[in-house]
Amino acid sequence: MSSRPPEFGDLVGDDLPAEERERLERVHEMLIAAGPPPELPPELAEVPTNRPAAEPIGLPRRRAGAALALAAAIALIAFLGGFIAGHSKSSPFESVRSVKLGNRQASAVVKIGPTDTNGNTPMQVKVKGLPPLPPDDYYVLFMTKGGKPVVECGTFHVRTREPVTVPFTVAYDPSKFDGFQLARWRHADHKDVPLFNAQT
Amino acid sequence: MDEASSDAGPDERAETSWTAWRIHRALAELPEQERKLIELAYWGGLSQSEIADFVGIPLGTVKTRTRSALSRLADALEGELS
Repeated sequence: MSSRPPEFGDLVGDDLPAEERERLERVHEMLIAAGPPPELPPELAEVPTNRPAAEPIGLPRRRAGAALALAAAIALIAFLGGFIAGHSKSSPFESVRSVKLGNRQASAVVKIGPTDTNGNTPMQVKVKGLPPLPPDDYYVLFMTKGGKPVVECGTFHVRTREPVTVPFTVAYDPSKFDGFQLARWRHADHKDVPLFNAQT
Repeated sequence: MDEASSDAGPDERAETSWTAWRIHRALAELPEQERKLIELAYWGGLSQSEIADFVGIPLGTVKTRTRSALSRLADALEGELS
């Protein structure tokens, strides 16, 4: 599949007011810089290639590949399921640092585990008192610099008033950041609403 | 393989990651018919006329929807554009 970026002029034509054209061109550049989402959209799997003659040969291979991928996925799920079940019963979370955000009514305690040899850092977040949100909203935990959210640690729902514990793993070195922010993603206006900040 | 990390420092990579995350999330909020056109244009490698053939809609509709999608994204990413 080709990854050549589209020409901006082809996308929007040449009849836009200059200000609007500049605004859209910045989005265009950001889309190119961002690259595709981590999960390949299903429709891209259907995009025709430049070699249609290869299709009849490619289809059985795709099926074989899909079957292998499915088998691998099932094996991985089975393994992870067993691992997580056993791990959660026997091993308390090993933390090297913890940070508390919130107040008396609602709080989140972020425990940061030791970074592994691959550079991944486990976290465990215990929240209590956070109100359940509408179905399309959710909570987001960020690491911050100067109080500004920079990278996302993960998202989670709260469905009851009971305490909730959620595990995250981040690919960033927490020591490069100076705090955390808990925010609410509000679907109605597509905004993050900061709730609590804490410096580390 | 590791081109992205060859020059950028941790700060720059974090900012880039943050921006990409915001873009992908804004993209996910687009109407399906517009999101699909953006994905096909930017990451499917198809021209506007190829997209029209692939999706089965007139070329003019592809252009109108693509422009609309970019405008919606600009609205959603207003804070990132300044």
